[in-house]
Amino acid sequence: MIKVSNLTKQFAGYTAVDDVSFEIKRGEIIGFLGPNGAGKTTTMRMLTGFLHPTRGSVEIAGCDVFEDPIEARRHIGYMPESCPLYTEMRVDEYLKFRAQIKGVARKEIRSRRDIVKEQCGLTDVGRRIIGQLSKGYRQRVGLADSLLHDPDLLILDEPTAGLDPNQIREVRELIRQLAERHTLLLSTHILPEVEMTCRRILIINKGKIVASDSPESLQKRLEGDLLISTEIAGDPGVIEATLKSLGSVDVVDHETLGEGWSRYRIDSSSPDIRAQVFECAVSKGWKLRELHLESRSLEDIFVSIIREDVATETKR
Amino acid sequence: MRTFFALWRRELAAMFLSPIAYVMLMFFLLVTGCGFYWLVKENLEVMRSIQGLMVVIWACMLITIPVLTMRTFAEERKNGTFETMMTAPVKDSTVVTAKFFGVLTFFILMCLPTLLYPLIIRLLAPEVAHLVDPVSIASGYFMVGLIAAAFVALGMLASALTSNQIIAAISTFSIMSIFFFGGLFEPHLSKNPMVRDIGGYLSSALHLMESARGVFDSRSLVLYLSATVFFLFAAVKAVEARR
Repeated sequence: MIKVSNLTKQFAGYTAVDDVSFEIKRGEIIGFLGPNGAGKTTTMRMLTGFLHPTRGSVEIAGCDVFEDPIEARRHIGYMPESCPLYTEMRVDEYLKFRAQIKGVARKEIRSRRDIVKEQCGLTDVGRRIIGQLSKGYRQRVGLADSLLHDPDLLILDEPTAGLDPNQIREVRELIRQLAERHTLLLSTHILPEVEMTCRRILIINKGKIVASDSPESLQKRLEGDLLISTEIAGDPGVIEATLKSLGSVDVVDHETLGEGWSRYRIDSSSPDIRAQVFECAVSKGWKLRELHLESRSLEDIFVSIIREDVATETKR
Repeated sequence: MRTFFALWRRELAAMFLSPIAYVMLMFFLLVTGCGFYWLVKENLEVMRSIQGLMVVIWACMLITIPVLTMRTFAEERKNGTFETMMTAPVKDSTVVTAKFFGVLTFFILMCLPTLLYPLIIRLLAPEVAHLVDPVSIASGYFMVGLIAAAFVALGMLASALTSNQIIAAISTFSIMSIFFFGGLFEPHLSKNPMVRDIGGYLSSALHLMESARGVFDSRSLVLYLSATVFFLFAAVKAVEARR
């Protein structure tokens, strides 16, 4: 669906996107992550043909975006970051206008408009002036616009930015529905969003792709080191020393909880030593009330990947 | 073609939805109305042919055209709608020409009420009616349209080059001034006859006066048509380059 090769964009003085290549297959849902200023928006703008790259090429559904822009854009539904709209128009007017310039057949304009309004929950606000709508509704109008010509590919740049938690939930739900029918590329820096919706993650940092994998395998990448959390009653000094001696344990730190209980966090580089911890507690006669493996959230993955990237950079 | 009409209609609608357009409309009708009143009251002789009226319209253009064109691209760029527009399957040239005809249509609509003035003369002052003949009205207004086309294209070029509407308006105004005053100050321009000739050739006022007398000069047709095409072409390039 998308084939990006050696895409580079230089602005005066710096390189925003640096030799990026990736492929996205039909039906995939991709989360595009990265810290602020990593080059997400620039990359997306090049994918849609809005910005021209310094080098490299983008192919969307077999059309080169820069050589055959009109055809390529027919396959793309794009919602830019701040969701710009003509605020003086009414919702219906705006959608009709957009359908016309997107080349939706005259007979289908009305039905397409009704379909996307239904999909995005806009049926009641058709007569309202866009400028008077709330941010959440405007976001929906933007989304409805990107769906008008029923594109194969949806590119959404931070679709939930600036929304309140309720609206975020609604938009997220909507995105999940859309994912059933469209190939989806969405950028965000809100990680739970990606965790809930995306099946593959692209992480970009300083204009370079630093990771491209499913959330699960990214998690596996980090499973080299496990984080075990346990609560044991007893003398913290003795317990800490004993836990350290269990082997393949890197760091143990503890936190006093009161009434003799302490929580210990064990950083171990594989294998899973939970059974050993339990056996140890039984043999020493410690009271143990909790023992679990802390799963790494996408947030940890993100932070550690970006950190790795920065570390290798400084080493060089 | 459908895309073109959709864009054209939206541009024209946007004009009528913005307060600036109404302010301009009022300004234009007020100034031309007062100008007409003054011309008639002081000296009907000036109304010999419709030269006097043409000069008033000519002066109004210097203000109205920069203001009407300044928003075309600068506003879209500032609001970000430029991005949604340029990622829709439309050609840059279609966007530019549709916007151009949108603004030009508005300007022409703005000029229409001034046709009443020659009509008033014909009806109320039959003794000078023969001076306001249909041929000079037609050729005068045609020249107004030509001049407007060239400057609307210029204004759009300026608007495409910046995201600041004020800068767009002032640069359009400045460049238009060269055309506007080139002939007016012709005698003071330079001692060099060639420079004076060029000033005279560029002067919109002289072109208008001539055509309002019913004398249509094909040189001005060539000038304004080629200027329109050139500025539109440059505007398309400016839109492309700002990506």
